[in-house]
Amino acid sequence: MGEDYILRTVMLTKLYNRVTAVDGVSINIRRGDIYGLIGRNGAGKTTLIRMILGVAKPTKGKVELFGGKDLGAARKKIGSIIERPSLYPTMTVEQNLEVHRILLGIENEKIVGELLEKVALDRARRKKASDLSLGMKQRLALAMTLIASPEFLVLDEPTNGLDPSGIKEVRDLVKDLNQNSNVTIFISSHLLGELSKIASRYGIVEKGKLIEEFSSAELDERAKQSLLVKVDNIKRATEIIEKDLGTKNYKVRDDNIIELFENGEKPGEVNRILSNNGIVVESICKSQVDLEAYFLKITGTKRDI
Amino acid sequence: MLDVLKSDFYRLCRMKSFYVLSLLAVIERVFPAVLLGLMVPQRGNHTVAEFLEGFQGHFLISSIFCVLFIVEEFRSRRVLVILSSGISRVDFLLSKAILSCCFYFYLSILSKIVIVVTCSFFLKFGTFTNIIYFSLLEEILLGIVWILFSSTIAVLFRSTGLSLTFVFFSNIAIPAVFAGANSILRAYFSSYFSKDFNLSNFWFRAAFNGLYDRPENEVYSCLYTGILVSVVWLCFFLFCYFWSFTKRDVK
Repeated sequence: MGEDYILRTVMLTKLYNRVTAVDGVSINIRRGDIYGLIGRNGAGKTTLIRMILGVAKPTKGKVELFGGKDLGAARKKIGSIIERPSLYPTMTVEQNLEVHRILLGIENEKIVGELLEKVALDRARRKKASDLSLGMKQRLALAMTLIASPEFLVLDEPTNGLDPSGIKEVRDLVKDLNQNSNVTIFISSHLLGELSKIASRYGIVEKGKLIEEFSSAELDERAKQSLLVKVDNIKRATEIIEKDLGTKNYKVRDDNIIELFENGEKPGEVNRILSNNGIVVESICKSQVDLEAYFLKITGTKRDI
Repeated sequence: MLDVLKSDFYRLCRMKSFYVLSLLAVIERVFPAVLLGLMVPQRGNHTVAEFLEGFQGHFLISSIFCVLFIVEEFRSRRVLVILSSGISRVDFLLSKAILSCCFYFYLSILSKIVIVVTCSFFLKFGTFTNIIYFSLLEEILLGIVWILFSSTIAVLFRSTGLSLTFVFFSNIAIPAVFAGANSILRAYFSSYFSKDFNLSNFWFRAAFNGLYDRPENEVYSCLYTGILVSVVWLCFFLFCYFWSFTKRDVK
């Protein structure tokens, strides 16, 4: 059973003075998962990642990697980026990769060239790291994480500061590693749209607590289509919905729109019932609840996702 | 551990500061050697060996390098990548300390070569006396303690400017504090201490003070005291060095 899980945290807690940054988080990541960690700024995502990677010490709780407790040995099988690329600015792209290869005791010298090609930095190999754009730095940092052929990648905001094509490159690389090399991936990102394109499981962190975990299939189930109905008389329309459609599962929005979370597949019938009762239906359309909308629904507000 | 050390040596060879500081160390030795060589009256009475016995290691240049090397790991946040790759904190610290000590010894050897080459223009080589052994021992011991002191400060402050200011300031201030404390002890508690007692000698930089001027029968007791003081400071800084990092989160 242990080996099925790449990462397990048990009631992981971190206190800074009296402030609780991470509060009893228990996460399980199975081999082959792409686990997306979602939370607003200051929710505790980075602190959680730092504890997993051993650069911050938990106040309470424990971390298990690859089903074992020898974290030092297990971390040799992990590649990671924490917040932003960590490079020696005065060394060239190639030297940065080379020094990391030596550090990890990788004997295959050719891997440096291969990885530079893989992340499309082979032409910039003699450029100093300080002269690279943020996107190039991110790609170099990604190449460094791959140098030891890791089984588990921990990426904290890997698309920060990247342009759309850079974001796509990272997304494709992550997908490729997961599908073709069976690398398990733990990724935190603000870009929920991007995350929803790759993640197979999600965890939502709010105020240091893991408030919900779900798979992408569960998200689809929870995010069934809703119906947006714009009417001239909200009060009367809601009475009819409750009486004739027999549901209270709706939300009235500020702009004279009722969001119906049931009957999403029957817009015609809803239109007919409302019209028969003298309500003017100005518009009616289907709305797909995506990861971002679901996150907002769970956490309440729209600030600093 | 060996891999960490290898990667640190790889980085060392690609650091500009390594070459700049080596050059500085050479210049710093050439000038006094030339001046001394030119100024020595009756050159026949003095030898290169004599100069070699008199020159001490490059403490300040070594500490500049040590601070630059360690702080860079924190400033570039490479320390996060290194530690999250399963490298232990002890290995990380030990490697930096070993490398900095190697740099110090490299400068010492470089200095001696420069002195030999430069002074040979003016003087005969001559023969070494017993002082060369004491001098080498002092150079090695004090060098290691000094590197550990500088490394501890670099890990604690994680800022080049602040660390170097502290190291340089302490080089002046700490002996002054010891001298002041010595005066107070002598003034108020003179009956408790022997005439030879000097608190200043318990700061590691002064541990071997007066060794070469002592009468022969006192040399060894002075030498043993110097070794003991150095070893105590070495253990203290070693403890501080590891303690300052292993108990803290890396940011």
